[in-house]
Parts: sequence; structure tokens; C-alpha cells
Amino acid sequence: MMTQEIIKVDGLVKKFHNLTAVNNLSFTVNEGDVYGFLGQNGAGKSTTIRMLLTLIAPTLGSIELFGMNLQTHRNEILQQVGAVIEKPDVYKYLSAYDNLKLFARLNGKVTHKKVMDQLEVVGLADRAKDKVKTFSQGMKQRLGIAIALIHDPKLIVLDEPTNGLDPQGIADIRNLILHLCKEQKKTLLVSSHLLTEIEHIATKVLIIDKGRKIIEGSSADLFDPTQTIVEIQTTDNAFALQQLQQSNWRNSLQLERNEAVVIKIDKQAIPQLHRDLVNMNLRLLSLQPKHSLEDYFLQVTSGKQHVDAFTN
Amino acid sequence: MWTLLQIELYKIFRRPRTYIAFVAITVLVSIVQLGLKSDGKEYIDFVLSDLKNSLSIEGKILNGYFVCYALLQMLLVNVPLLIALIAADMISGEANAGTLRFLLTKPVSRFEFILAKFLAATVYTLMLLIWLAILALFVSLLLFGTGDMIIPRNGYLVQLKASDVFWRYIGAFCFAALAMTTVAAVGFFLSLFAENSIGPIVATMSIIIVATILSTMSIPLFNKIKPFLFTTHMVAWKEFFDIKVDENNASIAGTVQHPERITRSAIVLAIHIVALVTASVYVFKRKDVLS
Amino acid sequence: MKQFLKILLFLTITGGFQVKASAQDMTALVLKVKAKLDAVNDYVADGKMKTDITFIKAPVGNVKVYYKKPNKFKLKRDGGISILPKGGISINMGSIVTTNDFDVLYAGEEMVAGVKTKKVKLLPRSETSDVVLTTMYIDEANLLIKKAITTTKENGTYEIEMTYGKYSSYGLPDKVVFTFNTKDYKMPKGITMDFEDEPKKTEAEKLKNKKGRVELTYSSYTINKGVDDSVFK
Repeated sequence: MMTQEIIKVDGLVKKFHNLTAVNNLSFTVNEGDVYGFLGQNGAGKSTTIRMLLTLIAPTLGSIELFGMNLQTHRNEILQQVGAVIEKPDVYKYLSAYDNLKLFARLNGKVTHKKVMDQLEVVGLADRAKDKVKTFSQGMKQRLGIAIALIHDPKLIVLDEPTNGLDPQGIADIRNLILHLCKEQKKTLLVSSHLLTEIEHIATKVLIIDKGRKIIEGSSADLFDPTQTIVEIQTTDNAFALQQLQQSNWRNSLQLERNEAVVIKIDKQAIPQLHRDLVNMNLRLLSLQPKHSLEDYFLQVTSGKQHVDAFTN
Repeated sequence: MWTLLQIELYKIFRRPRTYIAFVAITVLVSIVQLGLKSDGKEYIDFVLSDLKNSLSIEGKILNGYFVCYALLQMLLVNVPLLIALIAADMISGEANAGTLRFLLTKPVSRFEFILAKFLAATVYTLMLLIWLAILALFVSLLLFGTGDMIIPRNGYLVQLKASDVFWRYIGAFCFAALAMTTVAAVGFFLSLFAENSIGPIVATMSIIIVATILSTMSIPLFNKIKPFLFTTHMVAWKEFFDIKVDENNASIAGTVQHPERITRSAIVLAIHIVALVTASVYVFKRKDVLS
Repeated sequence: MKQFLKILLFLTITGGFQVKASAQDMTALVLKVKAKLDAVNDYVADGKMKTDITFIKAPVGNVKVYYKKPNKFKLKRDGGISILPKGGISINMGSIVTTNDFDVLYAGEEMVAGVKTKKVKLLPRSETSDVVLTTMYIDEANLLIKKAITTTKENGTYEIEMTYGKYSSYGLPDKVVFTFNTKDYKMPKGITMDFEDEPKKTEAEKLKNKKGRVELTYSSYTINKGVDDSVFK
């Protein structure tokens, strides 16, 4: 059986006035994935997630979910999606029960039992009748997840689910994600600005910066200690990229940034890469292997000026 | 759609803020009724002061019908502010609370969503008016009794037989419903453009206050724009209380002097509502939810 | 208005001199009429009232009129509100001739509604009387006042025209038409915020110059059956 593509994003662009928040982004999430979506605050994660959920209209590009076009099959698609975006904001003047029931009704009929069961799952059954304004951040987050889950969606999108939580809360969310993936066979898209948070739960990772894809791959590959990321700088990066695309290295290519070409290879292959680059008549300025993904992630995403319409 | 409307109404009527308006109306009406109950005669003398010199008007002028008219004159200027409190919060309030994100990721089309929201705001408006009608008309009738109604208008005095009044109030309240729905539509439209509720509420109130002042001032420059202001048309409910007369100058029961004014104003208001709701749908369907 | 009154007064006086000879007879005639009216101690009458004052839009209404000698008068309308010109109480003829304290002048004969009448002018002697002058047109044969024009200090000039029917033996009319000048009346202003255009000036002037009319048509009288004083309060 072929794995189904749950999310397929192709050439996604979002511009706010003069600012490009998401720039030519493409990625695929397969059924059963826990897809880690990484990037600094303001990298374009939220904008992308909002586009996936029709909160924001893309400037360019196509989005398909469950093999259907998002624009034409919006309601059909959203019926199978549960999401918590940023803070899990609900109606503070209503109780947990009333909030959950209210949102659940937007997905269809809902019974008292179902609402209570769901509250049980997230551990809020005993606080069902309490107004949300008396809740802690962690409790709100759990209620938000209950709202995202109550209609039993196939795809769950969690945007920075551990933001503002204490260590116990973070652990709870992590366990819940694993439970949803392993026991309930859900597909999840989880965004974060912390690599450490994602690396233990994600099966695949996408890192973006300034709205562009930096690297995408399975956790197994990306976190493989035998692999390394190599950043190549030449006098003409475009030409370098072109050359590499025609070579045996093409499958290892990650992307071209203006200042460098990025390639992910086995550590042992670095000398070979070096030789090949010289043979291609490229005027090599530097060839920098990175120790780990985290190293690389930090380097490309930190210490730089991030200008984005979207600051979380 | 029905579920959406139910949910929206549920939200409106579970919020404490909603009841501010009901309490405000209750307090205002009670104060006026109490005042008129104790010093009503002086108020009547004041209202009819010009006429008292030449005419002797005898009888129970201060009855429930008269009191209701006086109340509507005073309150229908203030009720828009109370409507703005909820209508201008419909979208911006959800944006501010962050709940808009959750709502719009549910399988509900934005068109249906915004229509349900507007209908809910309209239902709230109507409830407020029904409450006003209960207090201003029915409670006044209980407190002050019924009788013929005297209304001083600009340049003349209208006397309506007791039996010829009630339907006029039904008409007036229906018209007021249209006028107040227009206010709701203005507030609702403005609520699309902000992520806090204060901005649109204040903006709506300001628009209403400025437009009302322009409608009231008799300055040639303003007179030209008056017909285009919705506030000018909002007071056409008073036309229900003017009556046609026959060649002997005896009023003809069941008639209205200027039904065309009511129709014209109603059409103008209805156009405002349709235009504002259409614009709201248009804007909202294209709106990027960034809150 | 003042000018008008002066002219009226002048006419009255000159008219009076011409017919001075019969003044004595006329006093007797007025007293006879008064005696006839005095036979009515009280009455309650049912009727319809039509108000025709240009700046008042009033419906035709059923009224009940209460009278008690010497000058108690009350008009009650169904629905409770009646609008009458000030001094409208003098719709009642009895009150016009309540005192004996007046001079009578004969002003000739005149036809009123097809009936030959004696025209007499009553001048109250009292300085304090509001009535300056009353001109009456009396049907001598039936001792009925067909028409009366009263000029008052405070409330202008009123004209009253009466038509008699089955209660003529009591001197009570079936129909009273009360005409008065609304020229000096102040028009009402709207209470608050009437946005409609101001009435056009010429139109307002036209309204002002029109005469006001109140028409009372009685359908029945209950005479001398007693009327409780509380009614007049």
C-alpha cells in the first residue's frame, strides 16, 4: 500500500505588502508522520500553518491536503483536521465543558458523553464546569488540544504546543503526541522554535528560515551521527549548484542560499566532495562541515536580523 | 447555519457585557418613568408651554402612550451606543480573545460564519428593542394608563385617538428595528478591521454621534448632506405619529401623513444594511487572520 | 389685533347711537332670553366635537358636556384629551349672560341663517370683566340666540353660531359652531430633534391667518336631572 500524502505544499509564497513571509516553500507530510516544523520565531512557521488552515490566503503556490485542493475542498478537508494555533485561546467566560461542546458542534453533532470522555483524555474532567478564566496555561493548552481532537481528525496541527508550559506540561504534551501517533495512528504537524523539543518525537523535520526551506529530511537521517552538513562557498554559487546538480552529489543537495550551497553527506565522503569540487573547476572559497544539525540550525537561524510581518 | 446562529447567540447571551445594555435601558426607562410619575405635570407644561397660552388642553395628557413617545425620543438616540457595544465587538472581540483562530479552522465557510454572526447581532438588537418596548410601552401603559395621545410636532399638534395609537407603535418599533440593525451593521463592519474591541466600538459611537449632530444642525452646508446620512433616516419612526386630515381638518383614523417618508427612509436604511453586510462578507472572505 | 379691536369698538359705539331709542326694549329682550336660559339649572349633553384649527390635527370625537348654573361648564372627551381655544368655556350661552350687569345697545336687524334677528350689543359695566363686548343676534319670536360675537381682553374675538332643534324650548342648541382667530397663536415646536424640514414660511403664514373652528353637534340633552359638582373639578 502506498503511503498517502496528507499535506502537499508546492511553491508556497506569502507576501505582506513588501515583505515576503514565506518564500517558495514546498514540502510533503505523509500519513503517520510526526512532522517537525522548525524555525526561529518569525521564520514563517505560523504563516505557513495558517495557510494550511485557510486562515491566511497564499499569494502563490498550491496546498493539497488528503489529496484535495484546499481552496476548493476547504470544509471537507478541515473536517479531518484538528488544530491549535499559538495560544489555545477559548472563551474565558465559559466553562471547559461549554467551550469544548461549542467548538465541537462546529464539526457536527456531539454528545454529552463524548465531551466528557474527551475532557477525561486531557485530564480536565474534574474541572469541566469551571470557567476557563480560572485555568492555568497548561490546563488551557490541554483544553485546546481537546478541542482539536474531539472530532477525531486524521491530521493534527499543533503550533508551538509547549510554549509557556512548565517542564511537566512539556512532558505531558510530548507523551500525548507520541500517543496520538503510535496508538491512534494520527498524522501530526508540530511546529517549534526549539530543535530539542522536536528531535525526540518527530519522524521528519523541516527547517525554515526567512520563509525559505533550509533542510528537510527524516529524523533518522538528519540526526544520524555519521552524517554531516557541509556548506560550500564559491565565487559563483549558482554555477556551483548547477554543476552539483549534474553530478552524483545531486541527491544530497539541500538548497542553495545566496551565500552558500548546502549538501548533506556522510562524514567519510568529505575528501571526495572536495576533490570533485576542484575537478569541476569551481573556485572554492570555503567548505565547512557542521558538527550536528543543531549546530547548523543555530548558525543559520540565530544571530541574524529577522524581519517578518509575523512575530510570535 | 442554524447551528452557527445558535452558537453565536449562546455566546452573546452568556457574556456579562450583553446585559449591560439591558440593565442600562431598564435604569433609564425607570428613571424617566419615575420622574414623570412624580413631576409629570411640569414636564407636560414644559412641552406644551407655547400652546398653553392660546389653547386649553385638558385631560390625561400624561398617559402611557405619551410617556412611551417621550421615552423613545430620548432613548432611541442612546440605544445605538448600546448596540455598538456588542455589534462592534462581534469580530474584533473574537480576534482579540484569539478565538477567531479556532473558529475559522473549523469546517464552516466564512460566508456562513459571518452571516451567522451578523444575524446574531441583529437578534441581540431586536431583543434589546423588544425589551425597550416592554418597558417603555407596556410598563408605561400599566403605570400611566391609556388614552388619547398628543404629540407636538414641528409647527403643529397631533392628537391621536387612543384606539388609533397601538398599531403606530408596532410600526414605530419595526422601523426602529430597521434603524438599529443599520447601526449594528455599521458596528459589525468596523469590527472587521481591528483586533481589539474598543477601537470599533468607539469608532461606531463616534460615527453615530457625529452623523446625528450633522443631521440635527440646520446649517445650509450640512443640509445638503443630510439626506445621505443614515442618522437622518433613523428618526422616520416619528412619521407613524402624524396623521392625515380630511378637508374639514379632522384627522382620519388609521392614516399616516407621510407614508412615503417612512418608505423612503426604510429603503435607505435597508440599502445601508445590505451594502454593509455585503462589504463585510467581501472583506472577511479575503481577510488574513493574523490575530 | 389692537387696531382691529378699536375699529370694532368704534363701529359698536356708532351703531349704538343710531338705535338708542330701542335700547330699553332690547334689555328686556336679553333678559327674556336670559330668563329662558335660566330655566335650565343643569344639563348633561352628548355630542360630537370637530376641531378645525390649522395647526392641530385632531380626530372627530364624542364628547360629554356638563353644565351647572351659574357658570360651571365641563367638556369631556372620550379618550380623555380635549383641545379648545382658551376661554372656550363661553361656548355655553348661559355663561355669556350670567350677570345682569351690562348695557344693551340695539344695532338693527339682520338675517342669520335665513332667520330675521335683532342685533344687540352687550357691554359689561364691570371694569374687570374679561368680556369687552358681546354682539348677539337674537331670534325674537323664539327667544333664541342665533349668533354671538364676543370680544375679550385676553383671548381675542370669538364667534358662536347656533342651530336649534328639539331642545329649542330650553334655549339649548343642537349645534354650536365656534369660530376664532388663530392669528396670534404660537405654533408648537417639536419636543426634540425633529429632522424634517421646517415648514415653509409662506405656508406657516397661511396657516396663521386661517380661522379656527370648533364644531359641537349635540345628539341628546339630559336637563335638570342634577349634576354632581365633582364633575367640574
